[in-house]
Amino acid sequence: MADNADHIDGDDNEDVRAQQNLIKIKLKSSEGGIYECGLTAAKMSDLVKNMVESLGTDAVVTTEPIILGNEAVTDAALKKIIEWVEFHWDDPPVDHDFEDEKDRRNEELSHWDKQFIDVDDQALLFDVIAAANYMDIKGLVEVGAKHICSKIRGKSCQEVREMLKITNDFTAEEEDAIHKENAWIYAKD
Amino acid sequence: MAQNYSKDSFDRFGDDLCQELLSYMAFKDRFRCECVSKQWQRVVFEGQLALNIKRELFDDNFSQIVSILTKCSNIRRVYSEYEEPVFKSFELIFLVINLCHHLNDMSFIVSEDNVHWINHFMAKFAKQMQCISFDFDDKAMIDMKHKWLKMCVNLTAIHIPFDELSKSRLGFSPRNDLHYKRLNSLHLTFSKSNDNSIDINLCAFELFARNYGHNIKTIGFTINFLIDDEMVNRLTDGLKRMPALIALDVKFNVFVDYLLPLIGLKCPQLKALTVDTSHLRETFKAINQCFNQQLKRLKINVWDYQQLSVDSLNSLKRLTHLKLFLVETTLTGLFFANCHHKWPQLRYLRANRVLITNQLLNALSRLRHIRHMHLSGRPVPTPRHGIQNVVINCPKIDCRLHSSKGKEVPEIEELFRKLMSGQSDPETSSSDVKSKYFK
Repeated sequence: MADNADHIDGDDNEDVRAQQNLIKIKLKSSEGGIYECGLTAAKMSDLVKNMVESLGTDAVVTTEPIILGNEAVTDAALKKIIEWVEFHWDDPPVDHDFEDEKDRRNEELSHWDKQFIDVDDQALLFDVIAAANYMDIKGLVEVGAKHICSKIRGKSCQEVREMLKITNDFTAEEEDAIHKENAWIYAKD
Repeated sequence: MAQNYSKDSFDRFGDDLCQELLSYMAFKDRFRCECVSKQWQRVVFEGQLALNIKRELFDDNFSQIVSILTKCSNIRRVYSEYEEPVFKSFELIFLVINLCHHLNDMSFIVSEDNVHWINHFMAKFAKQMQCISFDFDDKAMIDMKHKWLKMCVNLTAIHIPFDELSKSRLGFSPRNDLHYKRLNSLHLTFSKSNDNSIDINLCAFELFARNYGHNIKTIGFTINFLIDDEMVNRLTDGLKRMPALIALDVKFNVFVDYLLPLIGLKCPQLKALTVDTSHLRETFKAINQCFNQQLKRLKINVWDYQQLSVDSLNSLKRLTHLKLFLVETTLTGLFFANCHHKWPQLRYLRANRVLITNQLLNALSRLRHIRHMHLSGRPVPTPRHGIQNVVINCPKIDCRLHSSKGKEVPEIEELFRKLMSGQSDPETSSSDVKSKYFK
């Protein structure tokens, strides 16, 4: 009987989420651009969710936009982020009851996410990741992380540095010593 | 802080975010990238939580494995996928004791060589272990196992032979106190044993169900020996007394007819079922007749050939995840016919040995909630209409169609990419497909 109840709840939630996403709220980037976003989608950001909850939904809808003051939240990054949450807002929630949910961490990115995150402009890519981190959108940070880790796969230190524009702050001797310690990984590659 | 760095440089990220971003790296990549920068060196090993022991990690003086265990200081789990001989070595246990601090999951192959060091291991780690298992070269040492298990009071999962249940603290409870307060998973292996011990161990299982039943979420059975009706009855009565039981995992090396039907009838609380068997038809029959509406997740591994008919797997109204791994049987469109009526909630489908046709994809594209569909088998030839329907009807789907060797088919990938990004397929007219299938 309890089972039935949770089933009905589940369906209700789905409808409520869909209805709430018809409500639009405004998000303001650090550059001043104002963009509309569905409420359910916007609440994928824990930062926005907490603000909406403390201000009350009505206040958020009728008054000023929510200001995202971090400099990573540029107009372009915010547009990308809204695109992502508007696609993912109706993702089924993680069901912690089931052990196999943990496998999701090891799963490859979906085709859509792969296309979404494969941005040529690295400054924009990093803005999206930093902004998602600031806005606390865990799913999107994960997409960024998996994208970067898959690009690194099999690359040498120097290639990684060049690709991600990282400054090498090791001395040549330090770097040699580390290479020697880790020489085993090249043995059977 | 961030102003100091160029916006397109990874250096702009602080340690916390950097660590999170690098936590998905492959094991060897971490070592390859350690010297990218000092920041990377600080964080790159933090997310490595498990270590798969392989021969190649060992050199003659163990300096490699020492270096690995020192660098990966967050290791929680040490295991060996292919049970490499080095995994048995007392040197490994010695090094783990000295270099690991957060370990909570390890298995052992106990021998005279390493028993001394396992005692040491227990002195350091027993209280933090969540999962542990022992195999024995020498059966005379089995009592050691129960001594060690007794020390691990915080275990969340235990694997033991059914025969030993009465010897363990699971079926022995003088004052009804729980020895393992965090235990939520038990796996039992059934092998040939003498009749006297069966009754003692069944009593122990009943006691276990009474004492631990309220916490147990997962039960696993590996069945290597034909168990009789009486025993099946008492075991399933035990399961019935576990209100929190969500998942059941049964591996039949010997098939027992009555087990699945009785579980289905007695355990309406179950939501996930995994079956490993050579009896596909009997398994489907038991699920159809006895499990009807409760299951949300179903995973079946079959390692024998059996012909399937249309009604092989009937309606499961709440099923969200279906995984089928077959060795000989081929799944055709017939198996998936009317799937949107049979499994209306399905959102995750994984199957191999599928004959991927337009008809099959058209049927699957009518699943309203489907989000992941990974099929491998034989795509014949390129099912363009089917793929179009999947994309049109399920715009949020992640669909992968692979050849039987698990490889992506370039032509299909390309078609998906095109359609997903809103282009039309030049070889079919999409308006004509839409009017036919999309309402």
